[in-house]
Amino acid sequence: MPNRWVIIFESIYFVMKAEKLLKTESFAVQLIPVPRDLSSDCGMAIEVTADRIEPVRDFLSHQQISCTIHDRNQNQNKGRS
Amino acid sequence: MKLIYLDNAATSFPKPPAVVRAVREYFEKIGVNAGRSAYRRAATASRLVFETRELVARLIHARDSARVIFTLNATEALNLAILGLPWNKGDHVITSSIEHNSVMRPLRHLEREKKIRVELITCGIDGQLDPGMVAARIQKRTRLVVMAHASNVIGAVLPVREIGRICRRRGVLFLVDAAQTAGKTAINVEQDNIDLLAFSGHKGLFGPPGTGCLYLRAGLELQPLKFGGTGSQSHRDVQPGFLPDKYECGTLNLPGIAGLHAGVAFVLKQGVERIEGRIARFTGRMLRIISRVRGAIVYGPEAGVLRTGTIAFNIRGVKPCEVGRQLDERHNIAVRVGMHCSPHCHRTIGTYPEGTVRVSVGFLNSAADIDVLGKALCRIAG
Repeated sequence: MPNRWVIIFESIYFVMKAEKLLKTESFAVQLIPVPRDLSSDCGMAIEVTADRIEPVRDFLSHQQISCTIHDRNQNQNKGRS
Repeated sequence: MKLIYLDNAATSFPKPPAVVRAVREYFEKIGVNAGRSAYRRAATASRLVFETRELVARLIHARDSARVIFTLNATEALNLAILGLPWNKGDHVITSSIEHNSVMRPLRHLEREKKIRVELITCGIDGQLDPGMVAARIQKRTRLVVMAHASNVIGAVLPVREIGRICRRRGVLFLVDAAQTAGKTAINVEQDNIDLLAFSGHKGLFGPPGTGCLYLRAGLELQPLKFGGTGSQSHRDVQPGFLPDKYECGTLNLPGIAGLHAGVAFVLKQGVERIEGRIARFTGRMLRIISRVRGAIVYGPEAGVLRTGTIAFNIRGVKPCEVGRQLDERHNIAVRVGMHCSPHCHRTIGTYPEGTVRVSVGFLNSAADIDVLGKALCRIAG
């Protein structure tokens, strides 16, 4: 099973926007509960597989959607997109 | 006897069947809160809210749907806009003499509380306003121009595009009250230079009562009207600064938003232009029919002038409340009589304090409805 990366957004609005745009671009994404160690938000995050993380990061950055991307296997912040 | 509903300026009725279905389906198939939890059903609710925001943004040509804020109605949107601006003593506001009390009352409140100065530009007896008057009244301390896109009493349409251009050039914020026009007349917040646009969801957009929106141009900040849970930044006890969360807290009116989604989709599918054309045809027919009634005095724009489907009139010798009562009791026709929450408009057209009868057609009326009204009015006029 490939590594899982988690994308955290400022608000549910951006989770929904990112989900819609990513799906439109045929990226395989999944909504998951926000991992408690990453954010206090009660809402959702987006999970993608490691092999897709770079194009997803580029895409979200291009769309000017502010987010943080986390490698769940190492459990460390990989910085802002 | 079938109800003939001619009070669409208050709220649209009936709603398209898809709206009723969407509200029902919210309860049957969703039913849970949005923006708080991550179970799949909650995600469906969150998607519904997001998609509705996107549709509304498309309708008003807003680039960023995060800047569409859901409110209870146009009144709440206007309060958020007017009360939320950073006022200083002596600031100047320009508005028109045909505004609804949902504009006038927050302004009067600020006049008392923040010592701002409110200046009304008197419209013509037909509700027309010369945009040059706005330009002439702008002072150094003018912070805001607030105008109805159209009068809720006489249907006169104000020159929003021209006023928007003047405001942008002079660096004054422009707030438009589109309660009477959203979904019925094209609005483009970019082209019309609108900084803040307030509108109801339950009139021309066919949503359920309890829905409204405020659009806020990028770069503008308001003080929120309310504070509370947003599902975001939950570790902090202060309101988030990003949109839409900054201005939306507590559980949203989700069945309302579900209905609004279907309503805006209906409007987009029909096309605003087509809706406007159909209402204009009904309005022309209604104007002809009413003006033939003995003793009828029709207020507002002359025939042929751009207007909405709202017509104010009186019948000489019969009080407006009596006309309303007879239309209801004898003919099952629903209209509104009196002041229509707009004393200034009635002063402008010379019908204060008695008021008028107001009939307002909607897209879902039929030509036959108007003919029945005509016959009923002839009976009442004798």
